[in-house]
Amino acid sequence: MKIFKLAALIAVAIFSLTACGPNMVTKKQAYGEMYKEKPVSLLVLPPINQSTAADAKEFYDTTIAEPLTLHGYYVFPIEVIDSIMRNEGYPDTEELVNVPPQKFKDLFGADAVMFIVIKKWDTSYYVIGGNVKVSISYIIKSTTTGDVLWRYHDTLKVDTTGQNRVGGIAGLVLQTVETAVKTAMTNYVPIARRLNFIALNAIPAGKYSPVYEKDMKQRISKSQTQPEK
Amino acid sequence: MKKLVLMFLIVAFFAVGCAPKVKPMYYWGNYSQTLYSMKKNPGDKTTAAHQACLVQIIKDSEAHNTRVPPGVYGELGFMCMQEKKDQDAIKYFKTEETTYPESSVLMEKLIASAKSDEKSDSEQK
Repeated sequence: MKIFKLAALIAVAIFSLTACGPNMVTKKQAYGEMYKEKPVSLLVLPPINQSTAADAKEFYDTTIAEPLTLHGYYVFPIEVIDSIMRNEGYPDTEELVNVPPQKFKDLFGADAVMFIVIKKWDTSYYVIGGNVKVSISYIIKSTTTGDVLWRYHDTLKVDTTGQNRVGGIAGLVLQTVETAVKTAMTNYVPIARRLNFIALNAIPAGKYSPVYEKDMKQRISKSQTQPEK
Repeated sequence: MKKLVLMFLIVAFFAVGCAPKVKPMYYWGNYSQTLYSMKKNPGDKTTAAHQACLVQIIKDSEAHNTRVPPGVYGELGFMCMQEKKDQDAIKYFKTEETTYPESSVLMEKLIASAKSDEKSDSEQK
């Protein structure tokens, strides 16, 4: 009887450990098109800012080139592209999505374009705490077919609640002040960097990467790869 | 005795298991930081700092015998072009193109525009 109970317990433990199985997919399953098309050069378009922070776009732009190249892609110099697109009168808003991706093949010779939508880039305070939230959606489209090759979205929330240990009302007041100061000082940029790091873990490795075409079996979270509701 | 040797071998195996050093793919230096400062406080000082960072990335990459990261020559060339150093700009654009042939459509465009800038500048003189 005892052994039976133990076995049941182990079975439950194993079940809960593997419970997340169905929510995982391999990179090959999620992004088969990307492995088929093998884009080498990526053009990162100016981010589309849907957040309330006006400067989010410009600051976000400083974080994406480096990690993308480390995943093996040729990334066109973002500052140069931004400047050319501004001069040629391209929209830097949601309208950018309506420009046919094929256009960027003619203009810059890009194999694929990356759209970045900054959904959230904000700070919230409440009586006893606060947090900073950055939420980004990434989409790579082929400039040959116009199809979506890669898609990922995620949110990162960093708690900025002050950590002082004074009890009572005095402690609460102190903590509120501390939270406000800490939240204001928390820079979004490191959070955006961490978010990029997590998201790009799911991108198929590009030509210059040592794991190019060797990462197809890597498992990633399925829900982040689906279109957002 | 055999066991001892085997054990020793296993220990030795684990001890060196993590030894091979992975060489970084690219040296990006302080790129992200200097670019951020330039955008946050635009001005000659922050622009010069970012340009110095790009030059440093090229030096570091050469010293470690790794490829200069994508776009670095291109961005440096573009900064030179804005300072009307068109000869330097053309040189960097060409290096970007030979390092990364994928960039050739954009680089040829930039080279053409640097050449025409140079021409119009010399005509003004």
